Amino acid sequence: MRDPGTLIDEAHDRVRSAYAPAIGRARADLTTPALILDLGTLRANLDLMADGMRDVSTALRAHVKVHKSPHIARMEIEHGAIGVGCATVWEAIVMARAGIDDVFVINEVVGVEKTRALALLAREANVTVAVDDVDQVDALSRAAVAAGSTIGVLIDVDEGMHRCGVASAEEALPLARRIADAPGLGFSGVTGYEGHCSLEFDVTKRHAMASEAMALLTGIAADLADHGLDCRIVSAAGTGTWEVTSRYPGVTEIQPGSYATMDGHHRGLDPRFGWAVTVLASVISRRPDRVVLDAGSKTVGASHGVLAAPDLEVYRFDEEHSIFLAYETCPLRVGDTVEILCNYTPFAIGYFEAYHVIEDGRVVDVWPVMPRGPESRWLLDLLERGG
Amino acid sequence: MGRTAVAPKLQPVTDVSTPALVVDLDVFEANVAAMAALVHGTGKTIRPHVKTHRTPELARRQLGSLAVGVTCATVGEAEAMVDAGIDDVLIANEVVDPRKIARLVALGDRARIGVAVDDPGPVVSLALEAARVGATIDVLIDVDILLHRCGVESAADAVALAQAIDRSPSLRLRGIMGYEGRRRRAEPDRAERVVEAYAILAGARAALQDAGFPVEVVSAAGTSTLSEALADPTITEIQAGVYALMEPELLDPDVPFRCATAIRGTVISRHSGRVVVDVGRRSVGVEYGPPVPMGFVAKDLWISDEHVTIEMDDPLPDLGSQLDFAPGQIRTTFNLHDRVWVSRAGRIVDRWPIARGSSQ
Repeated sequence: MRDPGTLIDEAHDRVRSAYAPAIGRARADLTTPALILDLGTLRANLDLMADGMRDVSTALRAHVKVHKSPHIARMEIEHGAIGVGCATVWEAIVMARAGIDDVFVINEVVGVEKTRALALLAREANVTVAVDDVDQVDALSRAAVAAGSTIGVLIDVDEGMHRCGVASAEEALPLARRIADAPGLGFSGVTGYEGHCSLEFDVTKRHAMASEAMALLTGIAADLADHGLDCRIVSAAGTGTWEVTSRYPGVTEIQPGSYATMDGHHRGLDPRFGWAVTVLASVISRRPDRVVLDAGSKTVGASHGVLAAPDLEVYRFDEEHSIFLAYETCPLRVGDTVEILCNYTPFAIGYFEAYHVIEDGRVVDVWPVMPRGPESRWLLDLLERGG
Repeated sequence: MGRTAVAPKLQPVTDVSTPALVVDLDVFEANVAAMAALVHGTGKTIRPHVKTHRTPELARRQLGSLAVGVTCATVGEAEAMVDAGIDDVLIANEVVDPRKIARLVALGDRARIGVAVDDPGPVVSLALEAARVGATIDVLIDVDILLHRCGVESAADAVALAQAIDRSPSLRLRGIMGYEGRRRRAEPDRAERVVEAYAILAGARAALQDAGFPVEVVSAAGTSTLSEALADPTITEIQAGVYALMEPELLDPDVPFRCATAIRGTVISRHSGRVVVDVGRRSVGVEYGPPVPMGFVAKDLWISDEHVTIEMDDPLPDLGSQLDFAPGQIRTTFNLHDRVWVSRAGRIVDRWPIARGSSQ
């Protein structure tokens, strides 16, 4: 790898400089809306996951698409993760440049630029990717040969979510053979995401659904092995199914992401993990029956949220405002700050460029959100320049 | 979640890395011209709300003889617009943090700045800061016209606030503002609510005038209530914003605006009767509905963080081909991108920065 850490250090310096006045301030005294990362809670979440994985042979791969933070990803590695999972090739580049050597893009990568970026990245890190189509295999092979690299490839299995992925061993087998025979590619195994289980809040039902999904995934892995195509990696799971999936025979790694930062949806699935990420907002208008905050769907996200305290009923979320019902007895006044617990954190994070990192009630650092959404083609330029 | 409506296809543009936000400048300019034509002759002006796109290059192209300034929702947006040379900005929102008030007042060096108020506390902070630096800030009293968000709830409160403003030589009371909210055609009591909202504005104006305060400006309305606002005798200034780019939900045979924005994705996975595109809720806003197919027919579609899964009939588009969607919610979509591609007559001609994340 060239200049490990430089890309991340530059981004870190940029946000530290942009948010310099915030450093040292109390958690409640920031310019709002502000994205808050509670370091103590984050560490507790990472410890809890590490404890849960201690007695199993299954490995933890931390999915970074939720937090998009190279700093949090490094902490996850320090807490035992073998590598990271990414949704895009751009996330993979950032994480590799953060010094993480094992990056898996758990998604189909299509298009000349993205395929080329993946192949170039594979020259400096162990890169794996999911596929569900022979055309992807051929394109990846051409790009890897051109870049002189080797890309690890896993077959994406549709475990019941009906999005990407092959649905049967019959579909998987020719794909696996194609990968195994393709120059520049290595067949690594199978991957799936039982996302449909994370919509089921009843633990017993959810675990039954996850077990059924794992039976399908490990069954396909066994069929491939019978044909001489060994699956070194059998990867699955999210925060809603990490425990049952990590204990399912034949699964070699799990790929949860939300456990680190958490949100209302995932707390409904596994309340042992705490709120590490929140949005700080200010009361900008106080009416007799309500308070109006300066954080709405443009900062908290389309899934909205609730107040950490006091316990007020949501009246409405608008773009720049959220409105909570509050009678005269509620002590909130214009200028007060409150924290919003997001129902789904990835959306909130997508709207911010930096985390205010809190320890002992004060801002100790500012970390970049990186890469920021779709606007990341410059990372390919970076790889092509060899910088 | 089913949405199979077909929005008209934008002109095809050359290959871009996806997901990509593309604005068709021809359609945008036609929308801006259509708005000018509607406002012309009514005696009113338009102050385009630029929170819609947070894009200074688009904002500049919305100005004209009937549009001398822009409306913003945050101090951060106002800073981006003034930095781009726009010299007349209304922040149609309450600003209470002393640090933000200082930033707002500082903009007064370079632009005419107005702000909404609904509480005597921020009026005092604003007046002190403006006096400290020798600036004069325009103030509009925000009136709650049934949106139940910010705004004073009675004419008496408006008069009391006007008195507080009047005691501050560094503040200039320009009038009142209100926002009646997005009023959809299908709302059963839509007409009554709009009538009632504008009656509240008229009542507040009358009370202020009776108490001896000037009310030069009555600023209100959005794209969804444009026809009512243009016919209303009280309103002097329209704050609409969506009209320039439009959203599928607001398309109506009675309005001359068309969808000017596409979110473009690439087909990354194909299955029997189904394709998956690399557009998701982290690249397109969905508050007013999922993305709407442009120029192709979907039997059904559902959206997740990084994907749109589309059920469609054969022949399926090839792997790697690109599909366009009209975003359900323009404002949250723009706020997820750093820059917008600009096309004219089917060719990409430029790429403009978005003041993304300017929510502070």
